[in-house]
Amino acid sequence: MTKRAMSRRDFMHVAAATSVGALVAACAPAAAPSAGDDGGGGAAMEEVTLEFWVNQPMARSEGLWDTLMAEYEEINPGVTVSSLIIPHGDYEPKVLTGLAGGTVGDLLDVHPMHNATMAMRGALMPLDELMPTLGVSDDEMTKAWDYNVWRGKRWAIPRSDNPTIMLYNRSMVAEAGMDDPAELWAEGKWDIEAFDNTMDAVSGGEGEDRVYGCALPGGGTIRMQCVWIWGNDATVWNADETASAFNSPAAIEAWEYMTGAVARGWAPTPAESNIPGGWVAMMGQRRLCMQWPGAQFVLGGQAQFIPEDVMSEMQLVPLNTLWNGNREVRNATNSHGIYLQTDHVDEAWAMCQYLISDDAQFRIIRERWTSPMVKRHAESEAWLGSLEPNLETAEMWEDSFNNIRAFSHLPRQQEMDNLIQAAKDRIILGDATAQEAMDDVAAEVDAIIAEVEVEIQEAGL
Amino acid sequence: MADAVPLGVGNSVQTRKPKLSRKVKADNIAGYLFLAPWIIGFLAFIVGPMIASGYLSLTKYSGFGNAKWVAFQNYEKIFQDNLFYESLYNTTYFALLGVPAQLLVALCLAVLLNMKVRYVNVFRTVYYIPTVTPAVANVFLWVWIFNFDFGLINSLLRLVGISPVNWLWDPQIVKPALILMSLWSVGQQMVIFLAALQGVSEELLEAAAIDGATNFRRFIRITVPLISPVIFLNLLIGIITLFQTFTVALIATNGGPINSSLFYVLYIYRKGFQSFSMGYASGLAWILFIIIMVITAIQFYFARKWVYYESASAPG
Repeated sequence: MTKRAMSRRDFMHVAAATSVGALVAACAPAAAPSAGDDGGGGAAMEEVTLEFWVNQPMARSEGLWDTLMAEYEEINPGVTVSSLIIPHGDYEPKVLTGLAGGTVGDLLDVHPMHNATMAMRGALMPLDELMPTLGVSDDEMTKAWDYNVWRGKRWAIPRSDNPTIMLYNRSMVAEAGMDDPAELWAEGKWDIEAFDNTMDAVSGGEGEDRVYGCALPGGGTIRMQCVWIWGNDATVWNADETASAFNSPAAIEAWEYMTGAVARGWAPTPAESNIPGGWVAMMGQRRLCMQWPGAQFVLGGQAQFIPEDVMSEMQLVPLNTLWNGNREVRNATNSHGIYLQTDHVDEAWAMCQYLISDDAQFRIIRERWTSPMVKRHAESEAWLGSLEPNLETAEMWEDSFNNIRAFSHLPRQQEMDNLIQAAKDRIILGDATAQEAMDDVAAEVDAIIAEVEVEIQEAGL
Repeated sequence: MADAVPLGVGNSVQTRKPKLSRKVKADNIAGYLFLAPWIIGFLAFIVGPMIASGYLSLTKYSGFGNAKWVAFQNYEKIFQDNLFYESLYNTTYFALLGVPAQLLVALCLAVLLNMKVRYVNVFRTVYYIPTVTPAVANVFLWVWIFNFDFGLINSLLRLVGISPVNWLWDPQIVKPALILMSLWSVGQQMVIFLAALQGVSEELLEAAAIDGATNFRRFIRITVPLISPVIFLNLLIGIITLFQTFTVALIATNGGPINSSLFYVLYIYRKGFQSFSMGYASGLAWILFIIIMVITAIQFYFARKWVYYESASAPG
C-alpha cells in the first residue's frame, strides 16, 4: 500500500480552511427548534414549546419544578415546557438583556424587584383581562397578590409567597433570661418593647463569642427597612410614587432606630455579616439569635444549612408589633408573567392557571415553598399537615400573611437602594445625622424617580 | 541590498512591486486564514463593541427600543456626578498604592523563588495557587480573615492586646485592606519576574561579586536594570488591571461603606446593568479608556528614562 504524505503546505491549507469553517459554523445562528422536533418523528398535532425563564431559588426544589412542569405537560398535550433556570442575582440583567435582543421566554419569572421594571420595559403583558378565567376570585387572594400590581395593572400571577416571619433560637433567649417570644405573641405582648428587651439581653460578648440579636434592623435594603418606616406611620414613597418620603420626620425616627441597632450592638454591620452563608451561617454558629426569613427559607430552603442540633432550638414567631401597634409584614411574592410579544399566550396563561390551581399549590405547599396565597388553602390538609409542630403553628402564619403589606418596587430601585444604603452607612458611622443623610440622598433619589417617570410616560403606563 | 531610489519632483521612476511566487502567495493566504479567527474575533468582539459604545455614549439608551441622540449630555452629567469623582478617586488610590505594592511583593517572592534551595518547585507552586483559585473564593477567604469579630487578623491583634480593626467597615481602612487582599494574587507577576530573573547573566553577577559588590548592590545595579523591561511590563499590566477592579469590591464590600470602595468598573456595572443607563455607562467606559490610555502613554514616555533594553544598546 502506498502511503501518500501530506505536504506541510497542504496541511496548513486544510487546517486553516477547517478553522475558518468552524468559526463560520460557530457564528451562524442556531436553527430554531421547530415544533415537534424531538427526534421522534413528526407529531400529528401542532406542538408548542413553551419557554419558561425561571428565577432559580424561587422555583427549584429537588425535583418539585420538574414534577410541576411534567404535570402541566400532561394536562396540556402538545405543549412542551423548556425551563431556563437563571440564578437570582443574574436574573434581571439576563431578562432585560434578552428583552433588548428580542430573545426571552414566553413566560418570565417576576420577583417584586422586577415587576415594575419589566412592565415599564415592555416585557410583560397586563393580565387584568384574563383574570376572570384564572380560577381564583379577588376575595380569595391574600395580600401577597398586591405585589404584582403596579400602576393599577396586574403584571404577574404568584406561585409562591414569602411573608417574613421571625426565626429565633429559643435556647439563646432563655439563656439570656428573657420570656419566650412565641409565648409573648400568644399573650398579645410581642411588641417593639419586648423585641428591644430581647435584643438587648441576647446581644453581647467579644471576638469569637460575639452574639448579635438580629441582623435586621439596620442591614440590607430598603425592601426590608420599609417595615420599620411603616411601623412609625411613615412611608418610603409619596402616595403616587412620584417622590421619596423616607426623609419625613417619622421616617427619620425609624432610621435612627435602625441605625441605632448597629450602634447598640444588636445588629452586625454589613461587613460583619458578610460571611459565606450570611445570616444562615451566623444562626448555625449561634452567633445570631433572630432573623426574618421568608416562608421559603424556613423549611424549604436555607434552613437546611443550619446544623440539626441548632435547628432543634429554633422557633418561629410572627414579627413583633411596631410603634404604631401594627404588625408590618414584608413579602416577596414569586410570580410569573407573560412576555408581551409571545406567540403562545394561551399556553402561557394555561401555565398561570395551572400553577395557582389546587393541585400545583398543594404540591408547592407540601414542599414548603409557600404559605397559602389562596385563602381556602389555609384550611387545607396540605398546609396544615406540612407544619412542624415544634417550630410553628397555622395561627402564626395566618397572623403573618394577613398582615402583608405591599411595597412598591420602582423601576431602577436598585440604583436608588445603593444610594440609600450609603446614606444609612453615613448615619451608622457618624458621618451625618439621619436627617442630613436622608435629605441628601432623597434629592438624588427624586432625580432618578423623575427620570423614571419620563420613561413610564413614554411607555404609556 | 538594492540602492535606494531617489524620490522627489520630476523623478518619475516607477517602483514595481516584486512579483510573488505562487508558493509565497499560497503561504500568505494560509497565514491570513490562520490569523482570520483572531482578526474576526478582534473586529467582532473588541472593535465593534467599542465603536458601538462610543456611539451609545452619545445617546440616551436603556437597552430597549431606539437610542435617542443626546450628543454630549451624558458626559455633561458624568462630570456633574459625585459618584463619578468618588469612584475615580477610589480607583486611582487603589491603583497608585496597589500597583507598587504588588510589584514589590511579586519581585521579592520571585527573588526568593529564584534561589537554589530544596523543594523550590513546591514553593513556586504554592505561591502560584492563589492565582489559579477562583477570585470569588479568594475574596471570601479574605472576608473571613478581615472579619471584625472572628477574623484571623483581629484574633491575633486581640491576642497581643491590640484593639481590633474594622477592616471592611472603616472608610479610611477599607481601601488599604483591599490592597492587602490584592497582594494575595500576585502569582502572575511573580512568574513573569521569575522568568526574567532566570535570564539575568550569571557572568555579570559573578564579575561584580569578584569586584566586591554586595548582594544588594548587585541586585540594584545589575539585576534590576536587566529586568527593567519586565518591571515595566508588570507595571503596565498592573495599572490597567487595577483600574478595572471589580470582583473584590462587588463581593467583599459592595462598594461600601459610604461608597469608599465603589470602584470605577463597579460603578459602570451598576449604571449599565442595574439601572440600564447604557448610554451613561458607555460614557463612563470611554472616560476610563481614555484615562488608561493617557496613563499608559505617560508610562511609555518615562520608560525611556529607566527601562534598559539590551538589544537597543548593543552595537549594530
